[in-house]
Amino acid sequence: MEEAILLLRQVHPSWIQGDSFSQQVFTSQTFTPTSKDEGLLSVYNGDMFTPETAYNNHISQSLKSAGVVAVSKKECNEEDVPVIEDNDPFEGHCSLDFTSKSKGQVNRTAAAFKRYAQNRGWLFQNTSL
Amino acid sequence: MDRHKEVLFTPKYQGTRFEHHRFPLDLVEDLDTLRKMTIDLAKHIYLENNPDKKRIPKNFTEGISFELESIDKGSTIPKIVLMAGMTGLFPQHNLDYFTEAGKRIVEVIEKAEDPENKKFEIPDTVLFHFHHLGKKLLDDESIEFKPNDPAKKATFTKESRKRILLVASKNKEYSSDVFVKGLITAVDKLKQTFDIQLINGDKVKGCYLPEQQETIMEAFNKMENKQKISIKGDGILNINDKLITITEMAEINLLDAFDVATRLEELSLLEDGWLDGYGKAPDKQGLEWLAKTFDSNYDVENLPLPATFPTPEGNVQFEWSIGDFEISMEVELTRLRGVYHEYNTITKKDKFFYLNLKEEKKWFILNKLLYEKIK
Repeated sequence: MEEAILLLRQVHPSWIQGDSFSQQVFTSQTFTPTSKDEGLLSVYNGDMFTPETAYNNHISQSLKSAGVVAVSKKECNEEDVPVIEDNDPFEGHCSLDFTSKSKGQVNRTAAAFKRYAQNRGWLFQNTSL
Repeated sequence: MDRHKEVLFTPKYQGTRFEHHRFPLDLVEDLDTLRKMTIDLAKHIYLENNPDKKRIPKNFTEGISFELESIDKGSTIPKIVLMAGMTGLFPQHNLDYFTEAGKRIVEVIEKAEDPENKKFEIPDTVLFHFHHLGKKLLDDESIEFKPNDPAKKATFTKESRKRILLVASKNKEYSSDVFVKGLITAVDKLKQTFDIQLINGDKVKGCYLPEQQETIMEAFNKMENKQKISIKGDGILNINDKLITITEMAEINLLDAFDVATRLEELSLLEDGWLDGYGKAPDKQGLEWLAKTFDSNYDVENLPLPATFPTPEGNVQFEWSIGDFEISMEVELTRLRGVYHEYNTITKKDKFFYLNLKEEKKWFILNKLLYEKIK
């Protein structure tokens, strides 16, 4: 995978706050695997999905999303997070591998990812929320 | 001229606000309501005792005055006396109607202590005055109308007030102080009314005064930017305590998009499974505690408000992006403990520690850490 590839991450509607779409902020928990993730955070391969098609794919599975943000493969490398192109459960699915990180390291990485994604801005937003 | 004095009411106000024996001005309406209620009931008793009379004598209240004699200690006890003129050596003859009215009002309050009691022996037109009595009582406050009676103190509370008003109301509605937050979704300038969508999604109508129009319109014009407002005032509620209308606004404020108390109120509506089937709902009491504690201890005047998010474990996470720093504090609602984490995105160094949020000084530490970042 090329370093410039973006890894698209859905943001849950309860994890945004702000008074206008351009100013909406999201939580670093967007980049923190939950206990059900078993250390593997689901993202869309930006080489195979646009932010909008990734969003549509996500909500078609009856999952909620307020929009799409992203980190690049290069940023994952810098934070020592392997990107697994597992293509499972669908073609274009990737996992950010946090399995070797302690809780403290996960928090640190999530904070770093939030800042990268925040600087990049929203790539797609559900404007009906 | 000599005047006769009769002690009519010695309501004992109880609660934190009355510990220093002062009487908050927003409760002054109670005293005038007792006067109006007594006069109306005295007239009713007159007609009851004189079935041959069709009307109240024109001078029925002449010579009678209600006076606040003192505010006695022992919590706060405004002593209301009835002053009446004398006819020779005796008080004027109609005084008895007023003293009897006072007794019956206290009897109604005493009966309303029993949640099963659905009937009060005074007319609805008099019961209606209870809309204005005890309207400003807080949840932890009460008024004892027979403070010296060891058996029955005739305690008036928000709950017993509601019971009386529901009996008097054909629509089974009652009035109460309200404090709500939400979005203004429609305004009718001609009628001076508005629609507000409350945080829980309920839509309610309200009316505003000309001087409140500017704020209402500003909130309405920014509705798409989710501009919320808070309203303190009076409203009509149904038997299930659901707000039906806002009848009067005493205070109206535009809220900051990151207002923490409002956000915590929103989070209190989350249910288990909120995170696509996962995610524990935050504990409501814990959220209330956090809203109060944050309000008392966080320096909102000088520090940026944090973004506030739920966590899958049922906790709350505050987050600040300040300069080079990404800062978060997860608040564990069961332990009332903060897990502080700050990360410098340039040096890639971080700090992590726990803060016991029950201790005021730990909030000072949090404030201090944030002051350093905004310098």
